[in-house]
Amino acid sequence: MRTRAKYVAFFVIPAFALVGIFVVYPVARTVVLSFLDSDGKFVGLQNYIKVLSSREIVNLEGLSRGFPLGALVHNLLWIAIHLPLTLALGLVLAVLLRNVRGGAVIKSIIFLGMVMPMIVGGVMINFMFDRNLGIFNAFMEIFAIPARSWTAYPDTALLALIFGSVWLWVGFSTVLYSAGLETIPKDLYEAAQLDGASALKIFTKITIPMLRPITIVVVTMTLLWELKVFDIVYVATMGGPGGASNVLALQMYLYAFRALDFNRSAVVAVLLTMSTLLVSLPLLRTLRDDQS
Amino acid sequence: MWASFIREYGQKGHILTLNGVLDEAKFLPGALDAVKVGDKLYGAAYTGKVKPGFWYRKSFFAKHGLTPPNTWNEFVELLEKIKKIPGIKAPIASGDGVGWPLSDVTEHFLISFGGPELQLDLIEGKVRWDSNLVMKGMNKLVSLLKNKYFGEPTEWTLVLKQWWNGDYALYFMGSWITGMVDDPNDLGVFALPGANGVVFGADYAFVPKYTQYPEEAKKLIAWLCSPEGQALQVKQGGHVATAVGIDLSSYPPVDREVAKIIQGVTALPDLDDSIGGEFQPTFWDQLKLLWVAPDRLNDVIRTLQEKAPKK
Amino acid sequence: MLVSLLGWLVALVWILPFMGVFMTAIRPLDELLNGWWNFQTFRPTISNFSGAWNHPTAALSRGMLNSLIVAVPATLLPLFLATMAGYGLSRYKFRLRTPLLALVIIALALPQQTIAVPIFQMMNALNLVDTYLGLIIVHTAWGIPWIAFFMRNFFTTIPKAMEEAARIDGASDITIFFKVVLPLAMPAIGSAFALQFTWVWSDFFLALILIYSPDKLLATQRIPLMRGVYHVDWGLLSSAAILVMVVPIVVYLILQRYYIRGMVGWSLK
Repeated sequence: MRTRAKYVAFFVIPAFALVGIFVVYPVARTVVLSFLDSDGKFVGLQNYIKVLSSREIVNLEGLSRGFPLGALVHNLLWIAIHLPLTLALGLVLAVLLRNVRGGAVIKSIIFLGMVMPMIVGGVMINFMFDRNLGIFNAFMEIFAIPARSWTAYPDTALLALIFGSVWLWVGFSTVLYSAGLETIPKDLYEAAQLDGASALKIFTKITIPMLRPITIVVVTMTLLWELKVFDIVYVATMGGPGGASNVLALQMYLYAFRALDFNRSAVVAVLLTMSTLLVSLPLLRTLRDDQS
Repeated sequence: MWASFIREYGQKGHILTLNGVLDEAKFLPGALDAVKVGDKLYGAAYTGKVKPGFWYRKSFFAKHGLTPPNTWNEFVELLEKIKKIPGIKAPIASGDGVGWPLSDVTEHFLISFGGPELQLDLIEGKVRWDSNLVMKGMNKLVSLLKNKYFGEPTEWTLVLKQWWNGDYALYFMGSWITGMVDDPNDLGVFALPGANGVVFGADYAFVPKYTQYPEEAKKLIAWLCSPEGQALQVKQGGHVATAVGIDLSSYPPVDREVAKIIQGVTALPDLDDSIGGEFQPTFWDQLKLLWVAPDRLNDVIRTLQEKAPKK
Repeated sequence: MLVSLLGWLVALVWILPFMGVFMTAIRPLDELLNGWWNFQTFRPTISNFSGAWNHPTAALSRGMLNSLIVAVPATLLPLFLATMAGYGLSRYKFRLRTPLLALVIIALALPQQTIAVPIFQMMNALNLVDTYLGLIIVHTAWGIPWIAFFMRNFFTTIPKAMEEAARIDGASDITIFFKVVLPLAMPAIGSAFALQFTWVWSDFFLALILIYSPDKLLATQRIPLMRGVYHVDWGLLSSAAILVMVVPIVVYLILQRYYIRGMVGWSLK
């Protein structure tokens, strides 16, 4: 390793100069904004209290009368439903498609949802749940449930988006788990079978623990998407009806660019950022350990 | 040119005033308000598009022996009658997109039961959303929603096709609908009984200060916006005059219905367009909720009042 | 056998929505009023596609061109700068190395919302609002952290033997980078290219913040406008959706190996 200063400068400075100006500085500025009022005066935690107590962020009345429950609660719900589903489904599909002829093609098809722009993803979800054109309704007919546009009703709008996002994003966990399954040494399985272990036991005692690094990655990335989701909601429901499918990223946008309240918007941005950093800690820690 | 542009540049001194050039009495009340600053008149309205009321197919009405209502009770009776027709999804089609035409219907109810002044007062924040005046119209609207006289909100161009095909009988829409159907002559329209104001999207003209021919320009604009000038324009179809006293026969048959409705009414600006800001998307969003959950009226009103402009 | 059947059943379920959108795009609206799976009449047409492509107020042809004008530089520029940075971070020991690495890792998690307002204000001050250059700069700055991290990981897996040999021959570090290292890095660069390009093309939020002239709108921005502001129906919207998603999907299919490897590669060892 060499400490040739001018070469370091050549390779590293241009890139990090850009990052410093257009990423680091704006982040710092947003944090500052969250503690100021519209005249630029320092107001401490006032903005945070205002935001966290406003009905669009947390709306506990919703517990008795139904959605909306507030953007923050909606994001948490998204996590609670989407994360376990995508983990379980991804793993099951990865195992299922291991020995299927053309499994790679099937995985490609499932993965398409990850490749498309999320603004189109939102249109697809709207389409899936549309009263006249949606396949979900055709499916519901089997259970004699009457057709409706599921994204137009407060009690089902968010859920429709969440389940739609499972269709969109499960490709990620499937592909990652597929790759991970290949890395488990075959002799581990053979040894276990020789010992007379059942398939279930092999699965829970060998496969799942061996997949832990992958699981950390999948969980982290998925959590980040669930927290940051914007495009899908913007195009499918715009947070509605009546805020029933609002999410933090969208509310941040509405504060900043509709209400022109940059301070409240900064608060939401900071809260979002803190959550994403928190979520990334485990992954960051493993990455840092590998680097040093 | 947009009225807000004309007002802004007029105040900055780039536009010639037209006081004295136009006879303001010859215009529908309210038509020139949007281009006035104080008592300086910076622009003139020629023709425009309106949102007059509920459209129906004359053939459909004839087939089922229906007639346009003259009172509120007749209106409800009409809706009940239509509801019973086999094949009908709902009497009134609910067009949706970003949020209008739901907002257009709502404004129509507010204006009809609260008076034209209410629209302007709400825009300026002089009246609260939970006041009796507003609730009059909102309650009437909600009563119709609860009785399922309105269809489920559907994408507004798709529902237009369904309404034309007979799935719905009535569709609240702007006068541009005449250009969107196969047979405009089959169109009929009626406003809510008692409506004294109509939302008017007028087209405005102005004379820049820098023109080389100020006197000629003023003469031109005076003529263009006069009853004679406007009569010529409406003959072409698709326009509605802002000048009073234009003979109905100047209009092509389709537009005549609309012109009849707006005789003597006050021209009003669109509510959410005028307020804009955070209110507009909230308004649209809350109405989408109201349409599918009319029992949430109080919640909706509370949210609207929260985000409404304050004086 | 049963497993295969199940597998293909899953594939069918997953591809159904695509089929639906495709059907809606190629069939006239009247046929679809009762669901696209009804085939009583079937008169396919490309009028929806041409309608979306040439739409009078939201033409997709213009939109896709605009997206390309942004996506190409916003991919090549960060690729170039971040590959150099990644190399610097892996081959040189210097005092700021660990903090910079930490910065890069933190940047990976950041939501775009965090920079939205200040970036808008900055671009306004620089007169770069509503310009492609402004958007390209932001995408470049945003892409550098993850690409630098990605390339850095890649470089740590390459033995330094070839570089050492070239150095002994008297080549300067810079020559070594361009003549020896870059060619070796091509597979990783391919992966980064695939991911960054599809990512920029698919972006909506940054474009929403920075671009608003009607003729400058990117392809992704035109899609929500078709939800009801303009006179557009499901047929037009579906065809527009297909046109916009076709580009990243084609890139993915062509560069699939690199794409997958890029995604998987820096998560696993």
